[in-house]
Amino acid sequence: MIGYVSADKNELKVRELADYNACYCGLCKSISSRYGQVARLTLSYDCAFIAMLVCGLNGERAAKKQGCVYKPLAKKRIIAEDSPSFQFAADLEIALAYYKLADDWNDEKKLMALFEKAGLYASFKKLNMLSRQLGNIVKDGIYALSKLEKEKCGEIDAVANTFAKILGDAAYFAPLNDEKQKKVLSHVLYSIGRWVYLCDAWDDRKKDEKSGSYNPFVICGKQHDDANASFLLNNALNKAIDAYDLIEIKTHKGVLDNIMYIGCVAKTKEVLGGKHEQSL
Amino acid sequence: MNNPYKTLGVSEDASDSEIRTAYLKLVKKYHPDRYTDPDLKEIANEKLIEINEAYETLSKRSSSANDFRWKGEQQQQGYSGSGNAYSGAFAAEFARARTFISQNNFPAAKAVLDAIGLRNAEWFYLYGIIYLRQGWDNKANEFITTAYQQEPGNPEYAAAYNMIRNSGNPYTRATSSSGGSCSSCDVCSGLVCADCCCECMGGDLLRCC
Repeated sequence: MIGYVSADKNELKVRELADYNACYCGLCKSISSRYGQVARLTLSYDCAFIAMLVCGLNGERAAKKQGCVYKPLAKKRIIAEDSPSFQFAADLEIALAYYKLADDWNDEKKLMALFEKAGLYASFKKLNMLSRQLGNIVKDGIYALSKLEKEKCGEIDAVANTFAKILGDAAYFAPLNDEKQKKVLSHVLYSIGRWVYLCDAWDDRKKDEKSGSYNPFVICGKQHDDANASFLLNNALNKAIDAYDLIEIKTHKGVLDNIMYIGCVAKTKEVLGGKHEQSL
Repeated sequence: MNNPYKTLGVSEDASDSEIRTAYLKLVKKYHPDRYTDPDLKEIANEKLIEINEAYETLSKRSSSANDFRWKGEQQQQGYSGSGNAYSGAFAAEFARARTFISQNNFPAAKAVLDAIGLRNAEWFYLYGIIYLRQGWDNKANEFITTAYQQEPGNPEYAAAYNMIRNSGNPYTRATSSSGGSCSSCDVCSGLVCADCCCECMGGDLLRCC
């Protein structure tokens, strides 16, 4: 996951942008307090979205002025306060990052992956202490995915849904009281996961074809033309939006609506080759 | 019961037409037909009931809004196990597969279908539905399209085909935030049009084209 799920900042209101930034920084702070300074580098907009979604469901909006170690000279900024919602997103972020790197090292022997993995090793130990079950879900999911990739699986649904399932299952560990909303959250994250995987695969298909890395779109090349890719990406996103419409968000609604209805839609268009129309 | 105004997302001094517009919009938003997953369908249904109750309360309150009332119309045609009366080859097997699908027992339904030697539209349709319910939308698309192409006249296949086609269209929503709908593209194409008109009449608006 690398920043596919993000807002279209041009369409945000000023206060919504402040809210978005506060939550992004909040997640970063949460990661650093739980996993140390190195782990902060894994921060992504995707997990910021998950953090905001869970915060929104819990109705959290607390924020205060804080400084940032990475930008010591900058003025103090408004940053969301740490909470179980942020901690959940932080755990998920670390688990995804660590097991992804481990997988990259095992399969493709990328040296960078080994270094980065070594850097995250302390965080990984902590993850096992703090949230072992969530870690195991991610581990099993990434291993299942890596197995399918090794087999050169030609069923794009099987591969994409294996990744989707990681996020869908992880949602059940979110700190929510309402079981029904948890179920809806799981559906949102599942479809978003499918969408992210498909976006990533379609985006990288040319690079992977050259390097010979696994890519479901390359494996069954003839079957997947532009029209089919457009169907798959839009279908996954529409399902995520359908599920999102059932969610009862109390805070951060402006930003979350923007991400789902505008940001991801624009991203899909961009990935599919259309030019991203900037609003004036 | 919750505040009906809040449920419909309108202010307390909203006019009848505003209430009705908001209501219709929400009915569309929470229509259970949008969902293939049974859990989500149920949640959407609950929302719809809440919205209907809210609307009914508000329309009772004002005497003029009696012309329209939601009749609890159940459009849930979804998937019923005993919908089709089969005849012809493998009738019993197809009926059995449908029953398994309606019970969410997909492995059993697949086993029944795999045992059938015939690959007709019904076979592709049922297999497509299984894939759809399991979230294998690429396969579902492939199979349901095949079913529809083999038998375009069948309303059930056509409905499933249209549903899955539409699910792959880019998401569009009228954004209320962007008020003017005149983009830079519209301005340019408008100018070019105006130029063409001028040229027809012997003049010229844009000298370069």
